Amino acid sequence: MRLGCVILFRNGLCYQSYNWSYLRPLGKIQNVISHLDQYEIDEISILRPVRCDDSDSDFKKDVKLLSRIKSSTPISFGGGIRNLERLKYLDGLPFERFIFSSILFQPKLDLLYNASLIFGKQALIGLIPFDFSSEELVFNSSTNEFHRLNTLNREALEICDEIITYDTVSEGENIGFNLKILSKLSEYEGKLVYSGGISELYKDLSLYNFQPKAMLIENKVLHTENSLKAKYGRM
Amino acid sequence: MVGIVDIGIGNIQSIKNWMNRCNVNWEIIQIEESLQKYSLIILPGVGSAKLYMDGLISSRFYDKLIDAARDNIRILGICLGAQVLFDDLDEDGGVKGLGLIKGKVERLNTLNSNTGWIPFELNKEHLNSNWLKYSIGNSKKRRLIGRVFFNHNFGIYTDDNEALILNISHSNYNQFGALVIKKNIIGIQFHPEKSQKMGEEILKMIL
Repeated sequence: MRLGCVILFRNGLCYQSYNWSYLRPLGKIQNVISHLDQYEIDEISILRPVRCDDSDSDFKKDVKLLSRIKSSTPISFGGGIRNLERLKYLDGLPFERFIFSSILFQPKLDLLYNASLIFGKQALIGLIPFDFSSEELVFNSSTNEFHRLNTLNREALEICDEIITYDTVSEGENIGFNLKILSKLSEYEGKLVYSGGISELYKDLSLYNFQPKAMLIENKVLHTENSLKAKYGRM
Repeated sequence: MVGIVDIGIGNIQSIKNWMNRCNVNWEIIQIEESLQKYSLIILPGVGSAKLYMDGLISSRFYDKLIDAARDNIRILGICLGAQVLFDDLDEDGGVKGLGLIKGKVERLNTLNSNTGWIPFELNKEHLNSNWLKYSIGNSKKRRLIGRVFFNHNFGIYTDDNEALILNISHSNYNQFGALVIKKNIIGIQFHPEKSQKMGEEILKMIL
């Protein structure tokens, strides 16, 4: 299992997020990435926490800044990859994989099929932000609304090589990742990645029984001045 | 000087950063220029096989790379760039590669990709006996042991008598080649440019 980290990035700055609502600036992204490179973390996922107000110009501005990133760690990127024009704009980024979320709700999957053609199927990752605290809800960023779990397009989930399940309620908290979602996505067990509420790793060792492909700690890890490798050993 | 092939797809920027971290002089190859001046030509690779091969043909690099291989210029292919060095690729319904190494590229026997870190060892002896050296090399190390990052759905297999293949055996997948060396051609299935310190040591040893 891989142990990685999620970084939120928008308008040139990194953010720490709590409960999918509150953003706290963390500084320049290159500083954050260099910090994580020193930890020798297994991978980094950069997400733009954008909603329905995301514009083409904001997307291009962020991608241009991200193209200058220098890192020796595998990086995936997502947040706002919603049409073919934006997809083409990703060429030349120093990233191996790309993350799609809003498309998982769409009936037409041309964007995913085109991405598969350009980057290869191994490069496609789905992102499912969820809130299972009362009802079984998943978040659609392009509409800025939670919907029922059954509104997800299962064909899209099949296409994705991996699926990040992101617990929006536990994000930034020490209350642990909500395991309820795993039983609802059991047919995709071999491709699930957990994130949200993973900050206190020692509390989440039970997750190993579910054999995730990876666990992504939200950017709270940046406030821990200890090497993950030294603290927990290689995962 | 290292030359990088840029056909408009792939993670070229990662390769540039990798070169810079290792203090290697590099440039993007202009198709009109002779390849003789390069000590190493790099074929980067993130993408799908058909698009990549179409790109090599339309950018006129296809013939130029075959000529360069015949002229003993050293070529390094990475991930998809390594896969296209072979004869046949299964991806996208079947694609013809450059045919610089006899062999084929087949889908791994798993539903999902092989994405992650795998332990890997490289001895200088592997290179000394099989790799056409340009100079004495930048690395004084005789043996590299570490972990390398893989992200692929297809594996490389060769029956070329002149090639040395270092295989990976993994409980979840059928055995596949991680690194193949044939005289002046070297194919690396993993991503050395994203394999942290180990990747930098590998580049120094190859150079």
